This record gives sequence, C-alpha cells and structure tokens, in this order.
Amino acid sequence: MSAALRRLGRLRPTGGAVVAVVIFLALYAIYAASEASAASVFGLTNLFNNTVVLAIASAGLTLVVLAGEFDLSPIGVIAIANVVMATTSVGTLGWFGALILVLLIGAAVGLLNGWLVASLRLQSLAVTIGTMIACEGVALLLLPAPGGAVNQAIVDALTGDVLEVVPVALAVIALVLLVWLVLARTRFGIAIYAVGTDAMAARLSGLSAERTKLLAFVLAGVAYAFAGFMLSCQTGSGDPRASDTLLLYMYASVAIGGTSLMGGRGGVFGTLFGAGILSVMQKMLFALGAASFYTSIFSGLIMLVAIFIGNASELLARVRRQRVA
Amino acid sequence: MNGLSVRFKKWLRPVLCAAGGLAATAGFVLPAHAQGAHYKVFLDLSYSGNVWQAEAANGIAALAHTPPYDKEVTFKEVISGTDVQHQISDLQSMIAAGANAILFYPVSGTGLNRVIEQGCKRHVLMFAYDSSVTAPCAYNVASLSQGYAPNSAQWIINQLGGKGTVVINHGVAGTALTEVMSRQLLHVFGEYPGIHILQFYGSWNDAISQEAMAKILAADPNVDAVWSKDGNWGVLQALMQHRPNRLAVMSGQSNNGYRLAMGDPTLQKKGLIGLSAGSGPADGPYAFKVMMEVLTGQLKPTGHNISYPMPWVPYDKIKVCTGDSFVNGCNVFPASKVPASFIDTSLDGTYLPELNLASVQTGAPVPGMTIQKLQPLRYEGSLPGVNCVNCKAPAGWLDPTFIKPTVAPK
Repeated sequence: MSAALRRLGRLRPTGGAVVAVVIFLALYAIYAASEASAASVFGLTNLFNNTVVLAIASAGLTLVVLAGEFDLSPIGVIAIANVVMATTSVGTLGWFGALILVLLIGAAVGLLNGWLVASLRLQSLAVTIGTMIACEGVALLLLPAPGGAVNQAIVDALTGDVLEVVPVALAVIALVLLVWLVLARTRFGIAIYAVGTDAMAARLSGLSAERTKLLAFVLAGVAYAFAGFMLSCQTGSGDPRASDTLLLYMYASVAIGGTSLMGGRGGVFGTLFGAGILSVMQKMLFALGAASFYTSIFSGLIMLVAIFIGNASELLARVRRQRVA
Repeated sequence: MNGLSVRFKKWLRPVLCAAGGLAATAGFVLPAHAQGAHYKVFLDLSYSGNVWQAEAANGIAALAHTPPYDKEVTFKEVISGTDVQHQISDLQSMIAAGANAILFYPVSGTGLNRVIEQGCKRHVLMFAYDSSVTAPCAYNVASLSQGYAPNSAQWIINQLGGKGTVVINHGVAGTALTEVMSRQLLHVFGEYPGIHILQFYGSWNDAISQEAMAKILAADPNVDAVWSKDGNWGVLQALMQHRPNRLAVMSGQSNNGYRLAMGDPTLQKKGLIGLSAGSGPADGPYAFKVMMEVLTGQLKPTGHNISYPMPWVPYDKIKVCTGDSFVNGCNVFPASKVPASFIDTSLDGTYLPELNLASVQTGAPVPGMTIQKLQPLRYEGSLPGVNCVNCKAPAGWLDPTFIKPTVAPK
C-alpha cells in the first residue's frame, strides 16, 4: 500500500507543473473572452493542432533532461521524419509503413546519441550538435527543397476532430500523457529521476545510469520522430527546414513546465502544459490586438514568471517538508 | 476653423479638377470602388528585422492608408517569424478573426498549404508575395519565372568573354527559390567549359556572405566574377577589403550603396562591372494593390501566378535621382539621402507611383496621393514545387530569356 502511495506521490505534478497549468488556464480564459471562436471546435482544433508537434517533441526532450543530459538533435530528427513522410507515405510504403520507418529512424538516432553519451561518456551537448547537423544534412539530401506530399487520409484524420467534439490533436496529446503516466511507474521511470538527481548515488543503489540514459535518448528519438510525423500531417508536405526554429521553444516548454534543466526534477505533465502556454499565448496576444513585437517580450516574461513561481513553490514545499521532518 | 475649411475647399476644388483632368488625359483613372464596403485585411510577415522586409512592409502600410483604401480597409500587420507552425497559427487566427484578405510572405512554399486551403474555404483572399506557395487557391505575386538567375549568369559570361572563375553565392539551402536558381545557374555556367565555379551558401545575408567571400579570396585570389541574390553588399565589402585594386564582375540585389559603387567610374576602372537585378521589396506593395483590386471587385485575374516585373539595371544605366522618387529614368539616390543598405527596388515609378522615399522608409502615405489605376496584369510561368504542383515547367526554363550570348557556348 505504502509503495503504491509512494509511486502515486512521484506522479503528482510538481510545483512548476501546477504553475504551468494555472498559467495555461488563465491565458486560455483571456483568449476565450476576447475571441468568440476560441471555445468552438474550430478554435480548439486549431489551438491543439498548433500545440501537438511542440508538445510531443518537448515530451521526448523532457526524458533526456530528467536524466541529466541535453539534446539538440530533435530538430534534425523532425526534419528527417518530415521529409521521409513527404516522400514515402503516398508511395508503396503507405502511411503506416512510413510511420514505422520514421519511428525506427528516430530510435536509431536516439540510440546513436545514447551510445555516444552513456557508453562513451561524451558530452551530450557536443554529441547532439553533431547529430543535429548530420540529420539536417540528410534531410536536405532526401528533399533539397520543400515539396512532396503526405498521405491525404492521415492528413485529414489527424488534423480534424472526433465527431465534431474532440480535436484529434488533443487526443494525441492525451495519449502521450498516458504513455508518460505508465512509463513513470516502471523501473525506468524511477531510474530516470535517480540518475538525473545523482548518477553516482543511483549506481551505488544498483541502478544502471548508462542503460537509463541510453533508453531515455532512444525514447526521446522516437518522440521526435512522432512529432515529425504529426508536423507532416499539419503541413501535408515536406520541408527540410520546417523544424529549424523549434528547438528553443522545446527547451522553453520543458522549463516553463517545471522540469529542472539540471535533471532529476519535473515531468512530461508540466511540459505538455508548457507547450500549451506557448501556443495559447500567441493566440491570446493576437486576439487582444497586441503588436507583433510584444509577442516575443510576453513569451520571455511569462517564461521567467513561470520558472520563478515554479522554483519558489518547490523551495517552499521543501522547507515545509524539512520542518515536518 | 470653418473659414479655413471654406478657403481650403475654394482653392482645392480647381486644383483637384485640374489634377483629375490631367490624370484622365494621362490614362490614369482612379478605380471605382464600391461605396461603403469595408474589409478586414492582414499583412503577415515572416522574416523581419531586415531592410528588404521593412521597406516592403512600409510600402504596403503606406498604400493601405492611401485613399480610397484608407476608408475601405481595417489593416493590421503581424510578424510571425521564421517558424512554420507559428505562421500557420497566425494565419488561422486571422481567418478566425474574420479576415477578408491576407497578404503574407510565406516561410515555406508547401507547409502553409493546409491553412491556405482553410482560408480559401472561408472565402478569404490568400495572397503570397515574393516567395510563392503551391496551394492552387492562393495567388502568388513574384518575379521568379522572369529568370534572374539564368539571365544574370549569361550577362556575367558575356562580360567575362566565356572564361574565368565565378563564385556563386547561393541563398538558403532547403528553400525552393535557392534550389531553382541553383539549377538554372549551374545549367547556364555549365555550358561554358572555360568557366570555373566556386560556391558557398550566403543565406541572403551580407555578414555571412562577406565572411565566406573573404575566405574564398584568401584561398583563391583569381576570382573574376561573383553571382549573388541578396548578400552582394557583403561580397562587395570583402572584395574592397581584400582586393581593393582588382574588383570583379558582379551581379546582385539593389542596395543603394551597391548601385552607387556600380556607377562610380573610379571603381569601374578597378574592375567593378556590376548588375543590379532580382526581386525587390516593391513586390509586396504591388501584391497588396492587386489583392485590393481583386477584393473590391475591380479586377478578375485569369491566373493565380501574377508577375511583378523584375528590375534590371546594369552599370551603364545607373542614373542618380535628384528628388524623392524614381522619375525620368533615375534609379539610385545620392549617398547623403539614404543609407547604403537602402534597397532601391522598394520604389517603382511605373507600377507604384503612389510611393516615394519617405513612404517606404516610414510607412506613411504620400500626402495628397490617391491609388492609381493598376497596369494590366502579366502572369508567371509554372515552376513545379515553387508555384504549382502536378504541373510542368515550360520548355527552356533553365535558359536565359532576354540576355543573348555574345560568346558561343563550348
């Protein structure tokens, strides 16, 4: 019973994640109050379609960050996934074959990153810069300029809604959350926090830091590839540069969602809301008629506020726990 | 106040009558616009913070505030940045906000197609300028198919007599524009075995181009010519720093500093034989004007790929302006009037007489100006993957169209 409670306690959102949820709801309320279509299925479908790629990619990145490493390769993997979908999903492979192929590519890049970082002990920042550049080059080789086409069946299916009630993108985000909730209850889920907090202590406790980091990179690679798959559905075509600017937003989503960039604290739940904040903020500022240049300023300020409040609430909770103890 | 208004009307009426008569005589008839109709029009920029985009946006804003458009539109400008998802989101917001027309600089030629179709289904006019999209329902206003790349390549070959080392300053890898131009350039230069090619990607950026050109000059000092689109000002700086007494044949964009240098006899003697051409910022205001005429029902284009005439000014046609507009064939301003980075092709005396120097620098309309009648439309050719899908490029799309070889190939 107590073990089960401990597990549930680990899954409870951290202070940072709760702050992210509150900020997301507040921004959405302002957006809905200023834009009539915000609460309609059309408005919600657009909002979640804008969020889903960033949310999935950031969820993958969260695993690596929790394990105490950095990953700059996501935009390269997303670029490859996008151009592979645009060049193969209409042909003989079909959409399902193309999806399996891109997931395997994502896993392979993750495996390479993980092997270089976990087994050879190379710096993750340096390693993943290399794989990012290499992947972007491969994407350019596969599709030198925007073009190609993505299977129309999945484009329509994954960008629309279910029975004109639930946006498909929201269902996909919920699925990612479900996977995370299951994953966090496994041995890997425990190990990733332990390794991210203190790799040496984790080793002494019998956990394999190498295997944990390797798996984190592989799962992250799969998530980036799936994000590229969803991006392909959003755009209906391929563009080797479509993911170029995504990386900073991914790290912003992770940080706003309450995950410590030092590792060991946070989770995918907060990250998903972090991505939601960045998407809904853009919609809200547009609806309020804010001049374009203010969007960047607001993004930065909200990120600072979210991180500040998240860290402050964590600190308060820690102090309270120490007093109780 | 009323007395002033009466006096104002007294002298204004004959002036306006005379102006109207003159305009009618000259063939410029003000377009008749529907009375009382009001439209919500958006401008969505992607790249921002550079001179090209700023001048294009200012020209568009100036037109939006020029009568009769000033009474007909609620105009809003949005900067989406270079992220495809961000631009998709902003375009969706504009459609949801009840836009009647959206003029946008597409960050991707294909990635926006879904949201463009969404807009078309809601009867929103979707106009892309300078860079094109492949969504069939969108209108593209560009000058790509007029062949800047193959014609300027042939012009360089003619200047070199068919022999020499040419540096190609490609744009941004992975963009349709760079891909098309690169194929055209390599095709034309490839016809001449005496041409030795060196290449780099300058990302349409002066600083990157200058650095890359400096490295090339250090490694190979025998460069005879440089082809650029944007970034040519940086290339010229590198040449003047590293080889000040032996400049080169150059083709590139239309910065005022570059055009002044092209026309400078001293620099010409040192070997600067320049060509200033390619798509200019005026493409944006021209697209806005076409879009407004379609929106107000004055114009029904027969095609979706509309052509904006490509500027083409070789070194021997440089003429310095004395006023604030391009009139009497002048095409460059004195250095005291504008910074060297100012792009001269933001003005166009023929197609955009409503704009002057101040309007493209500040976005304010020219006082007393009204929208003039549009010149008859011309249309772009098909370029698969650039402005259409499932289409064929016209025969000879890789070849120069108006610059004839003065040296026989091979």
